[in-house]
Amino acid sequence: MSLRLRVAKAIAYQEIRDAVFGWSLYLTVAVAVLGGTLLLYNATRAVGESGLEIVARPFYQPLLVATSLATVYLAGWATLAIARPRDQGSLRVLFFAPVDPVSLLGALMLAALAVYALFMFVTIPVFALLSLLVNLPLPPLLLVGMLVSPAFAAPAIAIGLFISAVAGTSRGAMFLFGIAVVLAIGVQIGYSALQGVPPASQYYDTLLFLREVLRAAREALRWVSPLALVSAGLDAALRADWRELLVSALAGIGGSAVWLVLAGWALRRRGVLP
Amino acid sequence: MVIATENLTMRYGERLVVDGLNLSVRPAEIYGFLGPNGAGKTTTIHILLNLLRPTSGGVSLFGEPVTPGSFAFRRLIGVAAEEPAELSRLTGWELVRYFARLCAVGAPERRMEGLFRTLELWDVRHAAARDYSRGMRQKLSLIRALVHEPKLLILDEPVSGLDPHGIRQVRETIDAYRNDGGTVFISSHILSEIERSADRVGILHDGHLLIEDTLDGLRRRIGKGRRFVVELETLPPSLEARLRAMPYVLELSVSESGRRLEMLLDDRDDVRPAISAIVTESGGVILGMQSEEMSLEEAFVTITNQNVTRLAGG
Repeated sequence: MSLRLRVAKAIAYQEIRDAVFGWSLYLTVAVAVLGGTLLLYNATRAVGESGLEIVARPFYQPLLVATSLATVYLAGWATLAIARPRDQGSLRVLFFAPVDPVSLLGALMLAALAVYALFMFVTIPVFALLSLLVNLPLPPLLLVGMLVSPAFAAPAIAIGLFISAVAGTSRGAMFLFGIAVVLAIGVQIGYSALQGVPPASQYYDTLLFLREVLRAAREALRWVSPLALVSAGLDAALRADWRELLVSALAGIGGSAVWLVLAGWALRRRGVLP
Repeated sequence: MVIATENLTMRYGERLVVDGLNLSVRPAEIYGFLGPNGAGKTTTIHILLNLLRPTSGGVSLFGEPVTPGSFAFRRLIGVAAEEPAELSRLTGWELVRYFARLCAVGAPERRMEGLFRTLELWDVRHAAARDYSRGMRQKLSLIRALVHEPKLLILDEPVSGLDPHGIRQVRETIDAYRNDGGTVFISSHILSEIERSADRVGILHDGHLLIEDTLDGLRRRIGKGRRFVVELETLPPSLEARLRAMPYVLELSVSESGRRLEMLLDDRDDVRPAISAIVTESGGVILGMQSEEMSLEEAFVTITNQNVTRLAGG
């Protein structure tokens, strides 16, 4: 085994161990399960109240919320994974060992994906149990989408690692992460708001350009934003649209590779010293 | 050479932190790297470890040049620096085992046990490392640096924060490591510690290596170093003037009783017989003579002051 691989394995093992013995993973699982349960409860209540006897894709929204939460949690974790130990001086100590940016970033990505898998390993059986309790089927196609979903979460982790590597301090990293999230959400909300402007409005023509810019940004985000990829991927899986599922997965893997290369460049440039 | 640097220079903007440094550390020696705070010692260590890229110049470790991006050589090096307080949730034992794993050490437990016992951390090995006192963290850092049996041990202020008992343990551990053929590079401003153990010394001041020599060589180069005390029955009238006239007597003071002479001598040659002869010729009776070599601290202050004066004089 090459030195780099051995080092990456050791760091990944340590990070996974830290996550398993920490509390934040379990808090995220609890929030995801609670959110999913509430959505499912709403769906079943709506069925009861409306008198309808069918409900479309009852588990799509709950699992989308769960995977999105896991993705955001891991992106946040990745955002601090380099910046915080660098602030504290422990990253410098880690690099006294034969560690380099490639092995560190590889290890952190590996660890985050393992934690994601762990998250799913705990969450999916809970949803399966809920499915039995409410007598609504958990579609196997959705489970296929969940199996592919690490490819959608990976770019979020890689973006977090890039922010962590490029930021001056852990506070700066969290600030940049917040800006990235606000921008991604802002484009969606902004576009929806502008779509709601009636053609008769006196501002319609003025806002048309802005709406087109936001539309283009939204279209770009469709391929860049991990949350958009999760949503599109799960939707494609439910429709058994394997081509779109594959394209989304490839976009996720490609995006992760690009962000990881950028993170490596940033870590070399910024260094490991406080 | 275990460490060799060639015109190593590091600038942060306009500030010159390391200035054309030419270091050489030989196998199986203890090299004391001295300098006041801010002299550039830690920056030099970071460059040696390839954690910082120098502005110009080069570093060779174990005869191989350190190139940008190279890191595998760190397997041969153990580094003990002040351990950050904010360690992960690991215990001391787990932390050292983690580093052993990073350095690809197969079964480190036996060696770890020896080191933990030697440095008296055995009883607290399962306590969280972040709960260790500063001195304990310092010792843990040394265990971490030695666990993979490195060829070169780099110590950055190894005894700061340690009590006398701890200092002794660390000193013995370093001596044992050197006796096994290891090379030690100690950066410190605790001069007494360096004086006790170093074979050779390099003094860094404002990023510039002022001198690199053995301790004896250092004293010889400075050219004044021996403090000499003579106890007399009485002070003969002409003795003080005769001694002051001697070129090797750099400073002379006489005690109030007149029976004790304190001199600072140029110790390039042994002038004790000459002084003894002058006292006797002057009619004095020597009750006792005592000589002290210049301490490293005095040498350090002299050398750095000379440098400051030289710089001030342009």
